[in-house]
This record gives sequence, C-alpha cells and structure tokens, in this order.
Amino acid sequence: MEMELPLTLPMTLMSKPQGKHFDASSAHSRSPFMLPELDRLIASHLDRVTLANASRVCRLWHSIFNPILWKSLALQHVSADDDYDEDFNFIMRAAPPSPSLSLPSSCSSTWSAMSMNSPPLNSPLSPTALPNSRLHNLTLPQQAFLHSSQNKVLKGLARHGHLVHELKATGITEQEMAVIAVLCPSLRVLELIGGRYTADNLANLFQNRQDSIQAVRFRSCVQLRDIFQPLRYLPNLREFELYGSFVGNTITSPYFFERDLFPVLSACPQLRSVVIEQVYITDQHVSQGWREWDDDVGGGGGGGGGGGDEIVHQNLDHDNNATSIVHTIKAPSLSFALSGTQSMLSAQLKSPPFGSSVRNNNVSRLFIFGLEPQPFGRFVAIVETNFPNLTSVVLNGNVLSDSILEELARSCHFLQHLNINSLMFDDIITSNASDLPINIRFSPEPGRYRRWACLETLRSLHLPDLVQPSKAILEKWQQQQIFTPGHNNNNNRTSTSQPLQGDQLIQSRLQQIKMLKHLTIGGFSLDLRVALDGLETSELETLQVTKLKNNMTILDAQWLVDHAAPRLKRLAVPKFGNRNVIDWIDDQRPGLLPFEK
Amino acid sequence: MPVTLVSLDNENYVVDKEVAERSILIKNMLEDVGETDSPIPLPNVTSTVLKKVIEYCEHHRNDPIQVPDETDDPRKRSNDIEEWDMKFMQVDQEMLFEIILAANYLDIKPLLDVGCKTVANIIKGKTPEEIRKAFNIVNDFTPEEEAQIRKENEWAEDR
Repeated sequence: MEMELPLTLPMTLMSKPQGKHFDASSAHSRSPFMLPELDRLIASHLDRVTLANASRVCRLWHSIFNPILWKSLALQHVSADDDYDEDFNFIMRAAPPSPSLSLPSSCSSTWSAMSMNSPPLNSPLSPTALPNSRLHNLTLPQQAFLHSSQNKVLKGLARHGHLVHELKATGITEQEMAVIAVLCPSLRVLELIGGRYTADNLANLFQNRQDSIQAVRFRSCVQLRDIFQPLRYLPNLREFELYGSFVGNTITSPYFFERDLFPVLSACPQLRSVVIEQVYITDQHVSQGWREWDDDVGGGGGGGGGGGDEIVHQNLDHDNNATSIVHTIKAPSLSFALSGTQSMLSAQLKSPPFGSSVRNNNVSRLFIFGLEPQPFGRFVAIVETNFPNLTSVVLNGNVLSDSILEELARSCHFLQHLNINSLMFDDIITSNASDLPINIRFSPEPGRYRRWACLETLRSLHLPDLVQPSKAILEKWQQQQIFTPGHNNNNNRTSTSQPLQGDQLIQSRLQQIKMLKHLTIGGFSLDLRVALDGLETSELETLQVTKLKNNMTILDAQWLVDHAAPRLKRLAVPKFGNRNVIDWIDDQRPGLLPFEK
Repeated sequence: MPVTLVSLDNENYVVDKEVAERSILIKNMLEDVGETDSPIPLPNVTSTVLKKVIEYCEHHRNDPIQVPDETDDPRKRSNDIEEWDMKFMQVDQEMLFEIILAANYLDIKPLLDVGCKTVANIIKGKTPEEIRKAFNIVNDFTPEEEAQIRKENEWAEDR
C-alpha cells in the first residue's frame, strides 16, 4: 500500500522574488497589491470615496484603483444640463452609495474572467496624459454638449469611459445615451432607472455596444415603448430585467410572446434570465382579435425576426390611442383578473442558456406571474412546443382556467411542482368554445374529461386560493361525470343525484394525482372534507390549508389525520377560529403542526 | 490522521487532517492522492507565516465550510471581523501581506477575506497622504497630476 507519490504543488508565486522586507517604495516587492485578484478583493471592501482617495496615492495605486472606481458607475441626469423638463425627483431609488462590484450571478464568472483581461489602459507611468481618442468619435454637437455639461461623471467618460463595465443611469436623456454609446466601449451591464425610452433611443446605443452589453435592466422607468425590439441587437445579452416600470400595452397584448419575447430569445442565444415584474400598463387598448394571430402563428415556436417591424408600428399606433391613462395594478389579485383586458405580467424564464432557437429541452423552471387567461392560453401552447421538459411551474397571481392548466399539465410530462395562486376549475367543458383560437383548443374530443399528463410525476401542488365554480359549470361537469366512461371516480358516496358541490372538482383532480406529497389548498368556499376525500391511499406528507369556508371542528381534524391523510408529517391550518382544533392536533399528533402555534 | 506540512525553510509541521484541509489546495491534493504519509511541501510559505496560518486553521477547524454566494455583496460584510480574527491580524504589515499571499496560495478563503478586510480597513477613511504614510509609499505624482486626478474623480465624493 505504500505509494510514493511526488507531492508537488502549483508554484504560482515561485518566480516572484522572495523579498524578505516589505519595502513599498521599491515596487511593493511582496504585497497583495501585485496580484490583480487580490486588488479586486481588497477594493471590494472599499467605498467610492476611499477608492477615489486610493487612486491618488501613487501611480501604481492609480492603476489599481482608478479602473475599479470607474468600473461600476452611477450616472445621474443633471437637470441643469438642458431644458429637459422631466421631473425625475419622484424616483426615489437613489443610486447606492458605492458602486457595486457584484455581478449578476449568471454572468459573474465570465465577467470576472473578462475583467482580468482588461488591459491597463491607464499606464501607471502616465495616468493623466491620456487624451481619449474616442472623443473624436463624438459628433461636434455631442462634443459641445459634453464640454458644456455640468455632469462630472458624464464629463469623466471622455477619459475614463473605457473603464466602465457597469452603468446605472438614472433619468438620462437621449443625448446622454448617445454619448455613453460612443464613450463606453466596454459597457456590459446597463441599468436604466427612471426616464422614458423608446425603441429608437435604445437602438442607437445597443447597435453601438452590441458586442459588449450582456445585461440590460429597466427599473422604475416612466415610460417604455417597444423596448423588446432593440434588444435583438444584442447577441451577447445574458440577462434582461424589466422591473417596476410603466410600459405600453405590448406586454398584455396577445402578440407579446410571439412577437416581442420570442424574437428576443431567438436573437439572443446567451439569454439566461428574463424577469418582467411589477410592470404597470399605461394603455388598456388591447382588443386585438384572436383571429388575427390565428392566421400567422401556424409555425409555432420560433417566431423569427421577419415580421418584427410591422408589429412594432401596430403597437405604436395603439399606444397613441390612450397613453395618458395610467392603470396601476399593485399586486396580483382577483380584481383585475376577471376584467380580461389588462393585467400585470411577470414572466421569468430561468434556465440554462437558451439554444440558438427558442426551442429548448433543458428549461426546467417556469415562473409566470399575473398573466391574464387568454395570453396565457397562447403561452401554454408555446410552452408545450418549446419547453416539454419543464419540472416546475409557478403561476402566482394568475387566474387560470382548468383547461389551460390541464393543457400545461398534459404537455409537461415531467412536471413535479405546480404552484397556482388562484385557480378556477371552471373550464372543463368550455375549452372547446369558439372564442379560443383553434391552436389552443385543447381537447381532441370536445366535452370529454381529460387527464393531466403529469399525474404520475406531480409531487407538489400549491392552490391557496381556489375560486368556486359557477353552477352552470357544475351542472356540465356533473353530466360529464355521468357520461364519461372509465373515469375513476371511486368515491361512490357521492350519488350523482345529489346536488353537486364545487369542491368535488378539485377532489376528483386530487384523487388522480398519485404521487402528491405536498399540498397547499384553500378557498373561501372550500370544504376540506369534500376536497380531500378519497385521498386515503395518497402519499401526502405536507398539507397547508390557507382558508376554508367554515372553521374546522375536532371531528374534521380527526378525520383529516386519521382518515384522509394518514401519512401526514406536517400540517398547517389557519390559526384564526381554529384554536381548539390546533390544540387538539397538537395533543393527538405532537410535531405535526409547526412549533409556533 | 495527521498531515505533515513542510515550509519553504524546511520546517515540518504536523497538524490534524481537518486542520490542514482548511486549505482547499491541500484538501484537493489529499483527495487526489488518497491516504499518504508523505510530507506536503509548501514552497511558497515560510515557517513564520505557516505557523501563523496553522494557528488560524486550528482556531477555525470546526467552522462550517464557506459556501460561495455570488449574490453576497462584499461591502455589506466588510467591517464584521470576528474579535479573534481581529486580534490574530494585529501583526506588522509585512506579516499581514504574507498571510494574505499565503491564504491566496493555499486557498483559504475565510483567511484571505479577513486579510483583505484588514487591509481595506487600513485604507478606509484616510486621505491619500495618510494612506501613503500608512503603507510607506512614495508619492510619484507631480502636484499637477494629482490635482487633475482629484478633479476627475471628484464626483465620487459627492453625496
């Protein structure tokens, strides 16, 4: 067993002189300041003021800390610069006190690798003698503008713009953006805060910086129009975020996925993360007929760049109709969901890199937030085509119909986790109704009860806010139950002659999900004993009840833990009104409830 | 099982494996090689520094392994040096730098962090002249150059 292995370690520093005595004046013979990665680590603990001071210490330190100071920059519009009359003061999102060096997680490794390679353009020997040739790339009016600008940061770009990797620009104008486009050749992360931007504003910047930009974020913007189109100029885009901004109606339009989002995904093969959240729609004119895109969808999936321009103009027209009306929808709720014309959307596709086309078998998580039913139906159809291997779907704040959900579940054979905030089991039969486009008519056999595809894999289901189906739906469903042969309604206690309870819809769904381990369920009209009936054989381990029609009784609780869900390991019930039940469960099955009562 | 570490100046240090494995470099190497009695040469670390590093690793032998968190903003953690670490870092600058370099070489992330924070804390809140004094650095700028840099980076001081 004796193995003589030569133990050699990498000797990264062996070639360095082993200076015994630290002597700063003789080029820091042995100090952390000679290793760039240590410089960055030290600098990461320094604030902006300290970085500025450190850059004045000596030439060596200037070469170390000046690039770090400029690397991540916050540029704020100075209103004295021109008569741009926007009032940006309401944007209280002040720039952080110090430029953050943290990079988006999805990109950081590449960026740090790249920043390692960035050449020390400011030679230590001549830190000040550096006329920036890029200045000559500015047009004369731009040069004049820059020259007369009061904005120290903007002026500084003339000399140090090449050092800027990350720019947080607050309320900047088109003029300023044009200057940035020329003077910041290494710009990788652009965060636009406040301000109004249209496709034209952005197109120039993005075309100029198309190779360098890797992340674009819009935050708290006053108005954005057609910003998706210019994103297509950025082949290296890895991250896109649209947060807390007012946008035109693009996002709620049924065109959104087909003509805005998916072309971007196609044009940006590196894109790993798209986050659209807390977006407010400034225009409610979204009455695009479904017929129209029935005609041109056909191919499914990709949606090339071809038709792009045409669509943008269409959308512009709509914006002009009603831009002054601002609807703010603060939180996902039922109130807007039923209005059907507008809603807030947040879609996040977090995934391994998208392939060269949209189709991607690796995407495993999908997060949709606050999407109205109809675009969602379209979206599901696209998901079906493009992301067949989804394992997790989060649909918070969406009011969905059963059929849409069913289609999703049917399409995704590997789905393990499904999170739906609000769900109406109202559409079991109506999904073949003529008001839906042909390509999202789900049922091959109209009126038939359809099984979910993921019945065998679904482990986690989150339904905290169920909506009671209407009587008409229940009647139809009841008939369907009678006439659907082979439906495994093994719960024969419910005679079909009795009036049907809405919860039996969810009951029948739950009974079919064989592997269900984690369930959240609730609704103001929900009867737990009906909904959970027939689950005796289930694997249910965690149950969270968010709300119920009536308070639970001891009998309910007994039924629940002994009969309905005997394998339960964790249980949470609403505290209000259920105190005695909670005490009883704690007594009978200690450890089942969370510790804090 | 103890592990023998050999410093640049051929001093042997026998330490517990879990102490030695605070160094990711050594840990990876031991994993590659498997059980071995061979001493591990550390040709970049002198005995005085190695002693210090071992002292740190002994004290932190039971710390949970740091999980790198990319979203963690280093600025937010910059001042929170543990008391023991703070005392441990009260050494002359030469030793401080040597510890940082050794931590970097041996890949001991927490020690490297503490070292860099300590250096950062020395720099913080000082004028350029005070920094020069603290690190014994000669100002090689002309007054004009320094003034120009100051002007260029003036924005950083604006609140």
